Amino acid sequence: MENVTTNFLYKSSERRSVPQGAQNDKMIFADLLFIYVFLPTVIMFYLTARGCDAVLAKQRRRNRKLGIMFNESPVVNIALMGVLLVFYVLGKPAVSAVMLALILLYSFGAEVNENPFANAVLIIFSLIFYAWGEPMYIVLMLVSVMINYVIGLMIDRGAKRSKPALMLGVFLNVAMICVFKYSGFIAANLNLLGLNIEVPEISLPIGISFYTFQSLSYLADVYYGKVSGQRSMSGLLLYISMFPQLIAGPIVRYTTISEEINTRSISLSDISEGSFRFLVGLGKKVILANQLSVLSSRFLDSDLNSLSMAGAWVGIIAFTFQIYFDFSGYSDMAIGLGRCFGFEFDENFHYPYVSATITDFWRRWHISMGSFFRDYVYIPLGGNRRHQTLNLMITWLLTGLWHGASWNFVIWGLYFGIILIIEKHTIIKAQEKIPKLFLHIYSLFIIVFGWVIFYFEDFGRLGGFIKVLFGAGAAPKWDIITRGEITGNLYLLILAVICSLPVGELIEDFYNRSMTKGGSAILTIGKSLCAVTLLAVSTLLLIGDTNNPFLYFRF
Amino acid sequence: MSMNLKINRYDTKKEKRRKVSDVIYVVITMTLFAFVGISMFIFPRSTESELENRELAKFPKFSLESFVSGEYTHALNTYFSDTVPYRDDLMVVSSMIRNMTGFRWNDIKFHNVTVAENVQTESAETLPFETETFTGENAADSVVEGISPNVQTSVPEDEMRQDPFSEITTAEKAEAIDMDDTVNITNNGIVIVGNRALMLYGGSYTVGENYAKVISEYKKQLGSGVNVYCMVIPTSVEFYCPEDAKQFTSEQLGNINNIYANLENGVKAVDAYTPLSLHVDEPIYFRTDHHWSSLGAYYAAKQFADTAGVPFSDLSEYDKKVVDGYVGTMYSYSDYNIDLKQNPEDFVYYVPKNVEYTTTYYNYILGENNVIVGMQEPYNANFFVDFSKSKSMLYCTFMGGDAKITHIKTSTHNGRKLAIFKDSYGNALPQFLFGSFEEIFVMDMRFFTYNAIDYIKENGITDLLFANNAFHATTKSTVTHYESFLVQGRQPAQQETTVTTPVNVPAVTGVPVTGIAPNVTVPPVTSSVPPVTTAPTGTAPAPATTTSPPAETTAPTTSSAASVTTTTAAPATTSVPPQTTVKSSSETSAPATTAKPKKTKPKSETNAKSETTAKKPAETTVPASTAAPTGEVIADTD
Repeated sequence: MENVTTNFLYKSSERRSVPQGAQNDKMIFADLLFIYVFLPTVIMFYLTARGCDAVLAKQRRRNRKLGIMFNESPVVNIALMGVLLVFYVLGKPAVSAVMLALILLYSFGAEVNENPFANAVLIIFSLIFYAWGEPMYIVLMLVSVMINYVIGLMIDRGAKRSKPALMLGVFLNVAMICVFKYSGFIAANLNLLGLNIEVPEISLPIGISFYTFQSLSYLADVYYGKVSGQRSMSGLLLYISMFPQLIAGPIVRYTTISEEINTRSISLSDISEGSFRFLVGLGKKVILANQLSVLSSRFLDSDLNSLSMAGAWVGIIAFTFQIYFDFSGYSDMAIGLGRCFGFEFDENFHYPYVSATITDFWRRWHISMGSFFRDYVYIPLGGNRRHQTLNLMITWLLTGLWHGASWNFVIWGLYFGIILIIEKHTIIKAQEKIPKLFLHIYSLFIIVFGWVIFYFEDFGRLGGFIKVLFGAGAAPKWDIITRGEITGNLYLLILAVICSLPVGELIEDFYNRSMTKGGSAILTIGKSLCAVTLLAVSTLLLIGDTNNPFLYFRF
Repeated sequence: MSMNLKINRYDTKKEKRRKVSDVIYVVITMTLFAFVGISMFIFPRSTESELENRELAKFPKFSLESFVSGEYTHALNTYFSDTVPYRDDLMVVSSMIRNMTGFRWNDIKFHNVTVAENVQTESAETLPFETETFTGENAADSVVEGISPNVQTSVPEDEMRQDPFSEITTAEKAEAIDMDDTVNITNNGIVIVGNRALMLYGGSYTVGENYAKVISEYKKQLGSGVNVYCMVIPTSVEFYCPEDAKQFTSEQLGNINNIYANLENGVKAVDAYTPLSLHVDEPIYFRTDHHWSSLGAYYAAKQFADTAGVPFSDLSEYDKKVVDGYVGTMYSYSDYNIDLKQNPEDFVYYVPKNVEYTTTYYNYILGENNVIVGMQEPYNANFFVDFSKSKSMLYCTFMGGDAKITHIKTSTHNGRKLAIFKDSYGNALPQFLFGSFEEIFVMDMRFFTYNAIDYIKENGITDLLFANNAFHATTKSTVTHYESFLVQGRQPAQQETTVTTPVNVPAVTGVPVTGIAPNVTVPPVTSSVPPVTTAPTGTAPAPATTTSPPAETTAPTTSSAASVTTTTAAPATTSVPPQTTVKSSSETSAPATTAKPKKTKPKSETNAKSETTAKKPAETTVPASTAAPTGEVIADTD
């Protein structure tokens, strides 16, 4: 039956036959346990903590003495974290828990931290969230936090920013991601060159690409003087580990939330909009992406000899929608949850499939990643000031590699790099003169073909699929199964098209405008109905779900 | 809430309105959220799924290792989503939503149909030699304790080269049993036409030829004393496949005829195809299940009775029983196609009126992956098992499932004893033959641990029917099973076993019908009994004489099979209360007399009468519901 999910999701060794609905080793958002146990628990603790914080703030206002009791000393923080890690590795989690409590308590001393209770709750639950399924890799994340804490403070020593410290930090972070994400890939390729290295079997710690990139952005921003180094260990820990964005992005910049770590307010509209945003994301993932994954894998994972040309197109188009709704759904859930907890993350997707050019597409797709590479790779390399083409190619090679340790991702990145370079010299200059429709069709074709490269890690299958796609396959170009799948998923596909268009934006504008004019009763009911439907339908679909792929194992 | 609400200084009317709106929205949403969340905890969690016919995940046990490896937390997630309260009902709603993604063209829905061309491409190497990949790990599992101890050593060296009936090891057998036959069947995909689900068929001519070969080998080894029949039953896709889907399924008629054409040594083909094809307007197949219906089996049984030259009871001689609301296996195979769920059908079965019969079950105990781990004590129960409470498993009404040997003694007396090797299709057949045979042994092709030839000879079987559907008749594992039955359970070197072992078997514990039970002991002795060819007479007659009337003592010498039966019958009668000994001893004579039916004909008739009187109370005192061993879960409804 439908146990086979899209093939790049799991290494074959990771596939196991489990009862339905349980393909996820990790705690993820689109999961009943997360939605109905984890989330309510966090919310309850968080509300209590906010209450405590409010009381504490009041006391501080009345009693000056309660103000700055002490400032956090890095040495103490490092010592505590060190002890925590040692005992965790030694298998004494109780001692580690005590150390964690001390680290958290230590942050209560400074007046600048207006919500130490709330932060403590968020950190504890984020660690539980991360430890869910992979309790050991939490060590890696904590080590990363400790290293970056030290390096951050080393860089930030008064007016003179330390470049060697930055270089060390970059080196350590890159080394960590190389070891845990790319060592197998590197070894395998060196073996191809004639060396004889044992290919290490390290399973990828989930979210490592996201949190190392966040660390790098933190170090860079400290170096550039955009922000000062975080003296509080728990502050940095909160930034790195915050569960809404921990495992599937977006890559939140430290500058975005550095102030909110210590001071944040949560308004009613934050709750209202944040929760709605979460439900929209949940719906995108569970209602659209999961259903589309059934359709896409039916064709993309089928025998290429019997795959028709029409089937190949239906499959890859379904995947095109699937990955968008999956990924942007996760971002929506992260942004929504962040909002409910008082954080404002930047937008990560902005209707990428309406782009007129590929240049435009990459401004709309996974914005936090694109801007990371722009700000921390492309521009430091020299940007458009010198050897722009080379800079672009390096940037896009790394972008591709970031998506997974496999050559097809490298090719996928370079593919976009080349197209962007060509666009720069052609379409961008003449964009006004080319009919919009033509540009859309062109862009969509490039994007969809890009997903072909992205999907197939196996070059044999990649080549075979491309052949089928362009009519050189063994099977007929059209078949009844494809017809059945198209009609059988027609409403779903239409819904997917509609949801890819900026309809949501229109509705939001309309909502905001109408709300001030009147008719708010209808709007309120409409919004509530939407939310209730999204939650109910998503919950139902999650019960006994056979297709709930988690796409970010590779990232 | 203790949120720091943003105080807007320009708090206009509009802003207020907005605030009210937000409050209403948040309250409504959170109410639903809380309602669902609380429901998940206050209602009892589901423990099993009737829809999927499986037990749901259990709450995991905590251990440090399982926690560190992530297994524990993973199991928690599984547990939580798997055991949602009212799971099966919610799953129905869920599949209704999934069904809203589009519409059907020509009322057809393809499920997992990916093969574009008609497949008859099972590789040519069909001889069972290349299965060395199946390792001892499986073999260890498959050794059935106390039943068939050392099958692998039983094949003499010189036989090893013999094609294709050697080389059957326990490892292979394990593989074969291990292999989920439903996977076999569903891997060609499913087509749903209207509210009828069809499994697409992809059969192999070569495998079909091997199937014919192995059946012919049975005939060769059994000799002229036993009639061997081969009935290949077409499945519903053959008759109900829409034009559009025909390209995805193989034609079964050609495959069936090819099998029949390859039968040798006088194996008789039973053409079930023609009678079925004449009644396609009647409900001869289920729409929501992959099996045929009782009615279909009736037409096929009639054809078989004609071929075998035995009397056959018309449908009017049966009580028609109807259970409505049947939604069979295809519902889950099709990933819960809602059209099937919303269009249940009637499950009809026919209970013979004018014939007496006793059914004895020898149930296999199955371990993981349906590997046989042992055998239950035999017991008597109704042939029809009440499954009206768990409607998705109604097909198990016939004998309660597959993993067993069923022995039926009927009041018919014509000297004919039938053995059926079958898949689940065969389950619907026996009740139509109660008036045609004295005894019927029903053996499943996946669950049989004796040597088939010995077993058939020992039980004095006169007719052997292979009843498989077209899928199984052209599936390699079927051939492997039948091959292994020919060689398993033979151990010429080990004769130290005695007749003492059966003593605990025939005790017929728990069944209050000891009076009619002696024959219960017949089948399970094979492994402990020396090969038939050696010297059964030496051990057998002695105990038999102790209880049997003197008239019968001559019988054992006539056939080895009879001798064995009487032997094993002896302990049973000793456990029977004194007042019933007369009846039971007269019954023990029944199998013995079959050895020479013509001479003892009048006698057997009198036996039959005494038997029926003895049986009457038994039949009535064992109502289906209580007799049904519902605790014994039938893992394979296939």
